[in-house]
Amino acid sequence: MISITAADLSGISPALHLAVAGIAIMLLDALWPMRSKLLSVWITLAALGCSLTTSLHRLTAGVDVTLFNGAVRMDGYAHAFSAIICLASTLAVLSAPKYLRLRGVHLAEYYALLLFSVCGMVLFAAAEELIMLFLALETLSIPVYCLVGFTRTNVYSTEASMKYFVIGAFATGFLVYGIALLYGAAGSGYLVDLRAGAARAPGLFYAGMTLLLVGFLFKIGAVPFNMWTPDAYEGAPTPVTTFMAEAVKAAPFGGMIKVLFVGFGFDAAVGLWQPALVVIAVLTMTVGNLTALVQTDVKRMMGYSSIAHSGYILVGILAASKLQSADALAAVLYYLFVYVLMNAGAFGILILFSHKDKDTNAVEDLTGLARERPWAAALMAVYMLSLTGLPPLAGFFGKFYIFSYAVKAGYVPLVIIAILNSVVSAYYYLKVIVAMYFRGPEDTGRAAVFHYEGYSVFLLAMLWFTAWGILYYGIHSEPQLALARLAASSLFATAP
Amino acid sequence: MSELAAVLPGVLEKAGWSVPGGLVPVLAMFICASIVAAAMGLSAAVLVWAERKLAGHFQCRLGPVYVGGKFGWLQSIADGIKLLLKEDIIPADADRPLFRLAPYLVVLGVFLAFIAFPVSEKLMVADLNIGIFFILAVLTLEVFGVILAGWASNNKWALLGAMRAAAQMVSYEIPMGLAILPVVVEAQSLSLKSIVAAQSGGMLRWYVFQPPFFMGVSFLIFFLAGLASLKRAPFDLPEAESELTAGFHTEYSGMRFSFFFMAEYAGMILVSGLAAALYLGGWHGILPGQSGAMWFLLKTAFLVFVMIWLRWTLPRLRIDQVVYVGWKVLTPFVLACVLGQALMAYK
Amino acid sequence: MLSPYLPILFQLILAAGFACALLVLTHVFGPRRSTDVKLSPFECGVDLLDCAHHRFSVKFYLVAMLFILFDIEAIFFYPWAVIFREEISQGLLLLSEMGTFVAVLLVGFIFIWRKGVLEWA
Repeated sequence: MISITAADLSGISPALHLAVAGIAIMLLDALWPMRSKLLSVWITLAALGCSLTTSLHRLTAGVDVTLFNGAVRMDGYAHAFSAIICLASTLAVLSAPKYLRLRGVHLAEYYALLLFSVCGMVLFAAAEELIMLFLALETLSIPVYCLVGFTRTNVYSTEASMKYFVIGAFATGFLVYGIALLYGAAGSGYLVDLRAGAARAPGLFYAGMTLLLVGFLFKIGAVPFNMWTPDAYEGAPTPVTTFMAEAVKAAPFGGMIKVLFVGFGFDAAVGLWQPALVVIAVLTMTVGNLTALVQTDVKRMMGYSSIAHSGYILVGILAASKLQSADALAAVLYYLFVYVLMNAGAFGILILFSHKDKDTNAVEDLTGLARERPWAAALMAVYMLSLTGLPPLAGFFGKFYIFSYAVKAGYVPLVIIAILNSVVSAYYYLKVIVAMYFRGPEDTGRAAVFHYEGYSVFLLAMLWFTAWGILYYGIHSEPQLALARLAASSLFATAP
Repeated sequence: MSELAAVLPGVLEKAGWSVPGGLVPVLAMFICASIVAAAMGLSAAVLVWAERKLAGHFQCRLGPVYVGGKFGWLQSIADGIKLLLKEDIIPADADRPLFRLAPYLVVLGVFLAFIAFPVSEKLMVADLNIGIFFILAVLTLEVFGVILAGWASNNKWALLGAMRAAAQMVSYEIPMGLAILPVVVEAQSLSLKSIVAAQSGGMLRWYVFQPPFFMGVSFLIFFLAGLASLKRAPFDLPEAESELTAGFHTEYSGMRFSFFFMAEYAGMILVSGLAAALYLGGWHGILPGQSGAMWFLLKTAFLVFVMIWLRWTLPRLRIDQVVYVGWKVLTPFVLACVLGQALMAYK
Repeated sequence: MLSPYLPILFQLILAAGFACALLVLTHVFGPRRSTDVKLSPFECGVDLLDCAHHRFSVKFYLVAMLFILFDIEAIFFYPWAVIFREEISQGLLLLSEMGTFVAVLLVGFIFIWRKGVLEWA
């Protein structure tokens, strides 16, 4: 008889904290709706903090346990992803109360949904089995569909939610079909057994692999499966966009890398995914950056920029798969960590100047920010420069590690394209800085107002933390990289 | 069924017909299916007559009296022939394929459910090991039929009635499905044959009378939810004559209309029969040792009588009351019954 | 031995055949005198205003969604109920597992109840 043991439960405690907290918030909101709002922020932060510290602690302690009859494995890799995701979600939660209060939708459900989604993300990187993978992906996605439409009286938000839902469901369909075919080919749902399917039923296996990859690429917003990204980013309430741009972005990579490395492996016979990913990476970087050039809305621009960054991360994954070295994969994890900080900050500034009746989203809206709010402008400049990849900011080191491993792996043309793309991206990131520092109301013909409507300590704490992180963890990247290496080597221990 | 397949070769031989051995089970199945169909059609006819007669007496009038001499006992047959001779109208703006499909779905669901109907130990078409689950599953086909009928008719009354019907039927499906669980926990099986067999040994062994009456309460819940999913009064608002003309089957006429009608009456027998099998000992008699199809039919008939009695006694509920009862009263109670019954097992 | 599920197929065919036959009969015997008025939707004698396929209250959708959720939960009960007494030697394990499940279900139930999803008015 199959039964759940106490060891299983304690093993997935990073995910369990979040689920229990989410349920507690729902119950709290049902029974004491008056007091539930602020309390649920604190419960959420506490749960995320618990998960974060547990994951970090277990990562450093080298905990590696296989749970639920092998369906879940909480090793260094899973714990590292859990830590990154919890950090990202904490930042997103910190930015939420102010914005939601302004929009009159500061409801406890927001935090419950967010926690359920994070719970799915933690399990997604830990899944060792296809059904578990699917289950985690759905737990991850469905709350986000709701969150995107959270300001439900806003037509853009509703539209974004609907689009994201329909396309997301479509992607899930691909994924499930891929899972079915792979199971048919391999005769087992466990990732380590998948490779055997290539010899047994190559047709089924490759069809399944393609469909599974398509599903993943949808989720990370890689070209040509990126069409939902800008619309969903623009329409969603800004704190949700923050959440999507960092946590929802990072989590699919967790599952994807694991499936690619552990499930499909690097063998030339089954490693057909590598050349496919090269093409996708080039397309993703280029299309993302070129489209971002013409955007006038920061949220939309960040949407395209996030597509471009997916491309860089794919380059890192390719390098790691070619070199089969934990160091190269560690660079990817480090990049995700840095990416989370930069994105959270950039969206945070937009939330900081959101008004009751209007968001501050257009690049033009930031015109003259430096004169009125020098500190805020300075923070935004740090985020933008880091996204561009300028030294000595963390964004630079993130790209630097990825590209140098890619060169080592022999992907020189790919790296050249990536660097060219980074140069292109400088244009639109710097456009924001130009607007803030070198232009004033006289250029746009209308006076921008930069006053804080609805002051939030949470938000300010988040902004300062991310800026500090970008400055500090760029130069002192070694501890982070060491942790990432620990995580990456635990993945390679199971990979063929 | 298997018994029939066993005796069939002998019978055929006596009759002097030679049938290849492989075809015998097929023939048996065919015979069973025909019997079920005939029984369903016939019992529906009898029930319609009985209901009209009873309604008459409840309301201090006579009901049908002329057709067939005494008691108007041929009334249903006459009505059937009349319906057969009526024009089959499909409104011009209706969605024709769906309009035609809907009555089939409704009838098919009920027909199929009778396969696992446990009249007696021998008299059942097939003892499915998931019998009760199967019946509940195919009964839900009716919801599709009703929604399709309402939508395809392109009539406001019909659409409103169909939406009400769907909301009501699905709301009561949950307590109905859960109410079976205490019995399943006790009998450790979903097969209706084993469930009834577990209740042998006289009236006190019937599940409904087992203290502390968790199954007694679930019996009431099952019966109520069954009434609601049949759309019988007091839950008849999907076809509330005074507000919706005839609800989802407003546009149906002739034979197609009679399909909905037949499904309702067959459904009454089905729900009553299930309640009798699950809670009232099925084919087992009041005293230990008594058993037979007669007992089962008696209990079923009694429950059908109660349904008719309720219909002609109680006023119609409002939709908010219907939803309230289904979700806020029956569902929590039935959950408590399931867990209570599970706890009882630890004694 | 034929599977016990085969009669279902037969019943299906026969029931469909029975229904078809009745409809054929009614077409043979029934009159066909259609007029425009007869073919228009019935609106209690009032002239037809427009198509009946209007939007209808969102409450119906809510009930449908709740049904799907709770029905799926209810289905999980069945296998549990069947093996419950067999596995009773395992002590409280089975009961506690179902207890946890019901507890989570109840949180959802309390939530929708308190949020007024079950209020029709």
